[in-house]
Amino acid sequence: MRPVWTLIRAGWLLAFALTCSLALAHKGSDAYLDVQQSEPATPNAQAAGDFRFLLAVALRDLDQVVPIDANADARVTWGEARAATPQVLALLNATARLDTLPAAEPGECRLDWQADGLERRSDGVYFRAAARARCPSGQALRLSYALLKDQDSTHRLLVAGRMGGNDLLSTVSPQQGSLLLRPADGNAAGVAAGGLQAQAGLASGRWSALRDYFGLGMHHLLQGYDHLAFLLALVLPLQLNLRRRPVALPASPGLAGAGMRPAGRANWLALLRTVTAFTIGHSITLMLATFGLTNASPAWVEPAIALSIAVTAGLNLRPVRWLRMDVLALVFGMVHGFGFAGLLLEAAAPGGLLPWALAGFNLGVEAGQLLAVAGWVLVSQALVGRSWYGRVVVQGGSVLLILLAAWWFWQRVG
Amino acid sequence: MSTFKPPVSLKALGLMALLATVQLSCLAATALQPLRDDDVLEVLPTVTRSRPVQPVAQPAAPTAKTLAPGPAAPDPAVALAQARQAVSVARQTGDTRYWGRAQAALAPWWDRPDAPVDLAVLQATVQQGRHEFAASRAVLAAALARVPGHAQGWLNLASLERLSARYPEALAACDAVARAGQALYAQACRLETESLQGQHPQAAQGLDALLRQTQDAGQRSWLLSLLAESLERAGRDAPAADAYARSLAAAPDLYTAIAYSDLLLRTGKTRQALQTLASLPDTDAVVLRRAAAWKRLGDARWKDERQRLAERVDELRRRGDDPALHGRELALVALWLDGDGPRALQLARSNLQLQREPLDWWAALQSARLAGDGAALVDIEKAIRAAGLRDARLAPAGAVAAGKTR
Repeated sequence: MRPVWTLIRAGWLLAFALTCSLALAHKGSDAYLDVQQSEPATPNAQAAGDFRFLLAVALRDLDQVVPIDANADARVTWGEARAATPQVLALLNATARLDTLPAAEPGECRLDWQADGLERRSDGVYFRAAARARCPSGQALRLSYALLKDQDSTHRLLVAGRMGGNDLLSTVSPQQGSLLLRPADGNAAGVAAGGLQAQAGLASGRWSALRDYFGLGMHHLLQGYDHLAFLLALVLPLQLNLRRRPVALPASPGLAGAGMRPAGRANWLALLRTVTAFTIGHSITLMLATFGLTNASPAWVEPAIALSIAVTAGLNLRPVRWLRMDVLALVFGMVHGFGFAGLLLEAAAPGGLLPWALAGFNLGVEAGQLLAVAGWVLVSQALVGRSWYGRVVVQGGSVLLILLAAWWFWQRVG
Repeated sequence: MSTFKPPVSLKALGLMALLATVQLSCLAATALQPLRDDDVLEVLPTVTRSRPVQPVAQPAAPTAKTLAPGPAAPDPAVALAQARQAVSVARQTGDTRYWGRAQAALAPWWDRPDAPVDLAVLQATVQQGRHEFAASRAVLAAALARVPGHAQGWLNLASLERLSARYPEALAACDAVARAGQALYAQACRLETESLQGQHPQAAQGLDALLRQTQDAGQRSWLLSLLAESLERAGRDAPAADAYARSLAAAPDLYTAIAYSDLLLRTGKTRQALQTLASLPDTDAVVLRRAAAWKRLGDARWKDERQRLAERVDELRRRGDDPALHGRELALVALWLDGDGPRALQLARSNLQLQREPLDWWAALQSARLAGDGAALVDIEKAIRAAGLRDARLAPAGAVAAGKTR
């Protein structure tokens, strides 16, 4: 008669339970992740940013996976919590991770959770763990999260903090599995359902990957002082006049012959060729690096970028007749491409959407360049055509750029 | 140029500001520094006592174990036991996370049309516990179409029908429980439903008869709570209070304790209500009633509790839950604590779309009175009559007075 008894027993329980529709609502199980990115010390977008992560998980939740209440007396003591700490940390290391390339150096953009005390929240006592990671700044990070996946279907990780100088706010469930961490921006409307991005269909995923990474690329270039300095070095000698009247170039002894290009349409074409060559250059290396075909260490890429600025500015002072500026832009573009932190793109891009992310990123960098150059063209209208343009703007500007690049080089080598 | 930022719409800015506020309130955490090894940090539901003592092992091995996907073929019997245990804890502690744990235990069969019927019924139970009534009803209907003799499924369905004030449908479900061979449950099911329809004396007699049939403390506690509710609907507050007290003495129960405190609050026994609430876990329903009692006694602590309830709503929103599923509590907060009639009325009326138990109608009527909205009052009274609900608490003020002198 056992089945009947079981039914009756359960029936008693459930009939009792279901005559009430009382809201016994507090909330479901939440864990809290706080992400803080320290502002980079140098004004350099490729520099790795220091991230600090704080994760708080309720003891009563952890107890489902790690038997914190070791003596099963329904009371978790401080001694029990301390004894269980290594196991809890191992669990967190396995279930709350940053997705990086397998090749990524350990201790860099990786979470190694350490115990950070306890805290009391509205629904109980939480275990707190902290981790630091050095990750490329200006990029989205992919957090993978699987804690309590098989234990609690309504568990959520609530993410908050600051990243890249902006607020970060999102929610992810272990069923979704991963979340793109990125600063709240113009797309903030999606933030409340942040984790839902992961569920978006592939078609809309492509479009949103293209769009998101376009924004990322543009942002990256415009935040990158050294890319901008390089662009400036390239366009300084081009006198770009928006007025239709051709500008007669004064013959300046310092800018002998071939270094200066004829004014007018040819200058605009030269500009387009040079900027596009730069884009093609960095697209090549960015893709090679992203697909893991080449690997470049920031140890030499960063100083090399500074060097490229100095060389380009130097060529403005002492032009080399046989050197084409667009070829130079292509070669140095390849150096800058390594600096676009391509190594992390794959980790950050949603699965299967890497080509779209790459395309979006490159288009974004190109758009950022065109925007920056357009800005310079507008600013330079006040200067262009002056008799002293060559001496003051080109030569003076180039000297300043060389000094700046030398300073960056010194910093990055040191 | 380096200060270029993508344009941010005003709407997005507003949303961010809202989210930032929410974020502040739910990030509230205070550091804790225990001193001694035997300091108790957390008290778990007693159900964890039933598991074997597990000394904490070295990190490496157990982690591999905990990461391993469950057994190759999930065992329905194990899942059933785990889910039942979680449901029981959710009910007794009011800790919503246990509904999520029950769902996790049922995960391999969740929403599967070929799930074993016991598990499908348990899924409906979890959904009902989370106030997802429409989903619960759909799952039950599908399960009972497959196995029409499942008494538990029909009991669940009957309670859903009562909750929606669909009493004839509830009676039909009670009959199906009888056909499935569960006479006592079928009888209690019928009596409760008929009591809602106004057959109070018959219900009281019938429940008394059932009480004489059982000595099981749990069953007696349950039947006494049904009796208490029936007496309260009949306007017999003193015997109702006595029945509640006997029910709680037989076996403590959160729902019954709250219903008892409602009666005490309604009849002006505020201090006694506070005593009843004191031993209960701090669910929203408990915090709300304690705040109402304090407010009535002029105890300023009610404001802190009001704040706490607001923070909890923010927490629900922050994690992506819908606070409207707790419409009854939202309406009562506006009615009892904020004294905001129009808002309470709006909340109470939208809550009636979700659930229609006597307390839900009562909240709507009281809100309409506070708001001075005569038209709404007439509408609600008409809807109560249409549903066939007879409850002295819901009668017009004059009729209640008449009932008391009787």
